[in-house]
Amino acid sequence: MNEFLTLMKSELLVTAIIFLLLFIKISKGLKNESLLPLVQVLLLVNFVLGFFFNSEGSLFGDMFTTSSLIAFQKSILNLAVYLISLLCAGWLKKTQHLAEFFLLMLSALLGMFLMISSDNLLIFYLSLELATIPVAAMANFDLDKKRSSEGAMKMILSSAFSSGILLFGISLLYGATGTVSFNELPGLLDGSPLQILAFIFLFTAFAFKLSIVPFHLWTADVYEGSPIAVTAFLSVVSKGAVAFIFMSTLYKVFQPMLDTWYILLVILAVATMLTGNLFALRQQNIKRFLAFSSIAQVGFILAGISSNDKIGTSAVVYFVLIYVFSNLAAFGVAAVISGQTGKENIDDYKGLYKTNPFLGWILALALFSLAGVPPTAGFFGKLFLLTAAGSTAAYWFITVAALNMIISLYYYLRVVRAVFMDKNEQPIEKIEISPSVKMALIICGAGIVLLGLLSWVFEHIESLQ
Amino acid sequence: MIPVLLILLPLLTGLVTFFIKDEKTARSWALLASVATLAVSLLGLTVMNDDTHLSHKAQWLQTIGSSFSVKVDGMGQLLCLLTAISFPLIFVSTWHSQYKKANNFFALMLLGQAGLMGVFVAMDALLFYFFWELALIPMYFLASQWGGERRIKATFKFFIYTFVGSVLMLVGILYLQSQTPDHSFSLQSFYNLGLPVRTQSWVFWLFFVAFAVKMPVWPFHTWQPDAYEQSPTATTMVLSGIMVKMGLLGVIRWLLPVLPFASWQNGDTVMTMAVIGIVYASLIAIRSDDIKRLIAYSSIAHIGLMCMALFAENKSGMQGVMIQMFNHGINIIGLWIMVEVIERQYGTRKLSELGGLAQKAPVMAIFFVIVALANIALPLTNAFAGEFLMFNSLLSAKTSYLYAILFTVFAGMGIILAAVYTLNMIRKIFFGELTTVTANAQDIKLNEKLAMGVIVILIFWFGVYPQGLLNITDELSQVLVNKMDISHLLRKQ
Repeated sequence: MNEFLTLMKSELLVTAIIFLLLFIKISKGLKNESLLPLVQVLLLVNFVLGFFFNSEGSLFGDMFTTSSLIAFQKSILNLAVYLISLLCAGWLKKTQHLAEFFLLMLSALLGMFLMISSDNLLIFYLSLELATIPVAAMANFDLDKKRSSEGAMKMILSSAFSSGILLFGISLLYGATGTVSFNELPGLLDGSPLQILAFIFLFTAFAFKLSIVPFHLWTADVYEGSPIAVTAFLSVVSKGAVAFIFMSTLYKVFQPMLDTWYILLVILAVATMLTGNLFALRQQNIKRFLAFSSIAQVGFILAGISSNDKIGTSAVVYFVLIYVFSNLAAFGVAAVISGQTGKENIDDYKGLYKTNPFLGWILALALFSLAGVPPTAGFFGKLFLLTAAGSTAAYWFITVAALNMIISLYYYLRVVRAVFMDKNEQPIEKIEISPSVKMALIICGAGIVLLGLLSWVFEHIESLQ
Repeated sequence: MIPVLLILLPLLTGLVTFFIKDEKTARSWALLASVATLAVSLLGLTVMNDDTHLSHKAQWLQTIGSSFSVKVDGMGQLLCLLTAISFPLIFVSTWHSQYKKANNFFALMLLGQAGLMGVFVAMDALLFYFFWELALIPMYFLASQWGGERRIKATFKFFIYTFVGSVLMLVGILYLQSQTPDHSFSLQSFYNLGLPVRTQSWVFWLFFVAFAVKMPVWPFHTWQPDAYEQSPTATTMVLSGIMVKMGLLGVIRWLLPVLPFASWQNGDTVMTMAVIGIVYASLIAIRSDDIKRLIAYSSIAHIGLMCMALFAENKSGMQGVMIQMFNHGINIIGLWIMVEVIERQYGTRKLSELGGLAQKAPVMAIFFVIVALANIALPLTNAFAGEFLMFNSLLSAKTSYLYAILFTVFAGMGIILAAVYTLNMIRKIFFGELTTVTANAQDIKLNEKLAMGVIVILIFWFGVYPQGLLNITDELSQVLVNKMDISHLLRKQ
């Protein structure tokens, strides 16, 4: 019993919060003003507890496994959810169904936790569904906006499609090997055509979730239509979780088929980076812009994964951690502005620095970090990914990745330029930022500045394996 | 100890400056901070002039083979001194310039200084890259916030150009790191690398493009006149006086000794590019009507000569460039100070609108003429010794005799053309009829006299006694030239 409690600690905590919210909702219900701080405190407690009482082991006949690295990955996701609850406070306070929103978000988080911990294709499939369906409902949360429903529809259709493919892949794999356990599969894989077919189906499902090119088409529309809190959740938490399980599946289960997936990964990494970057160049809406930029970032994650090495794992986890801070800072600023003024166009950001210097600096910091410019943490994230990739890859691959950094700098700088440019007839007026949002933005900013310089963070991740 | 202080002092004082709201206080604080940095630099040059004080190593990113390894070598001494002298001079001479949000301005200037110091002392490739970019970002914001009319476009171009260069360099650095036996980023292991002849060439270009953009060498120079013209003059001084030296330092420390074969192989190409740059930039300078652009182009010509001398790959060139980096910095900052005065007092930078200033502002005329003559390396001024050494090196360049002669002749033309545009500029500003702009001109103020006085003293001091500079750089340039020796490789072929 005790083992059950410590091993499933993260899941149980989230479940407890879910039930608490449910009880509050059905008993009497709290006003948004008092419910939101309560949820924020709960999420903070949840995040802090994630660092204590961790142990390693597996449960339910090897269906569920956890380790200190997995616990750390869950902590990253916890942190991201906590930051989102702070950053999007403006929008959250205004929604009619705050409790339901968090219920959905935490259910999705629970699904992601189970997914990262899954050691069996069945539980993996179930938890992936749990992680996806609530998000589609969340995407629809701007009830009076048509685009929001459109985004949710696209999301649910593409997820249904991808999970169908995933299920097909799983059944083929089961047919070929007779097992669904992650521990038994590697020994039974020999790279026969049927197995490769099954693997490609599985890979496709992952590609859908990570919006790897050519399965990225839903991303921009869903991001644009959804409320910013949901977009942030999708692009940071959801992506991070899938990247973790994707990496561990490749390394652990499909290790015997290394030759197959390595080449696939390299080609798709290049395609993803290029497509994301080239489309981001022309975007006007900040959410679409961030959607394509996040597609490009996934390309870099793939480059890191391709190293098939311990350093690759550390680099990806580290990158996702940095990505949480950088991307959430950018989304946070966008959320504040959109919440106050409804403006989401990059052209509207012109002269932002004049009226809102704090937001201007944070956004600039975030974009520099996403672009990978030193001294921000984003540089170190990319550096480790490229170093990891460089240990195995051909150098043309690294060069292409580096050239993509240049393209990405161009469009990130375009936004920075707009922010710091002062010619605008109707600049965004001075925005009052509530203390909790300000605190979250400062946390993100501090993370962006410090995470890279403090080299022990990376060493800590390295030591977890 | 010394190098760490040189980085930390401006960094920390710079961060503090962000929070000083009062303009006067911020200004004085920045000046004080830069003087303190100068004191540290002088300490390192005189009293604490030994290895224990001049180098420092700490753990940093150990997992991928990097460390916080800094050291002030001979070239570092000169460039740190240049950086340390420049900032007080810049702050004093622009004492009366008004800046909106002055605290941010001075904070960014000091952060830029920290980055530059870091570049000059870094002995680890990753650290070098880190500071290389760190120096760039404050400059970007300085130019885009406090610059001229077309600043946004100019700084955008500037940033993109330099970033393209530096990302390519990052690829090169990562490649070299993967080739070292112990996967280390340290300069020493790069020196011991001995890369195969075939791979050297493409790595060479990855690095060289980064340095060429920074210097800038033709045809990578197009960002430079715009950036110089559109930046606030204080920033232009940093860009042209100090920042271009980052490119030269990169070539000296990180390119020639690391990839000696490719450097020799591509030497002719680079020298040709540089010599085209010299003639081209000088010709444009002659036709320029804007003083800032004129000086910007003259700077391209000077840097071109330094770049040529480096690829001549002999000791006199190496040493000439090292001392010339220092002297060029001093001279060009002097020129910019004068330009700043002219622009602020008379509201124009156009040569065609100026004239007869010598009658109204004799002190300024004297200072200007001295600095301008130093800029064309007249004997007895500081630039002469360096220029002499560099021409000396060109004649004995490691290339065919015909090329050496041709390069020398064309580079020599650069000197003649420099005399043409410099004297022409002096004539148009200070002599001839008074114009409507200059009719009520006043002479320069005390703070500018002070700054110019220091510069003129330095010009004559090192003009008469260049030995001081030569002593500092002597040992290092010999060591580097030895590393560039590829005769054993050639014999093998």
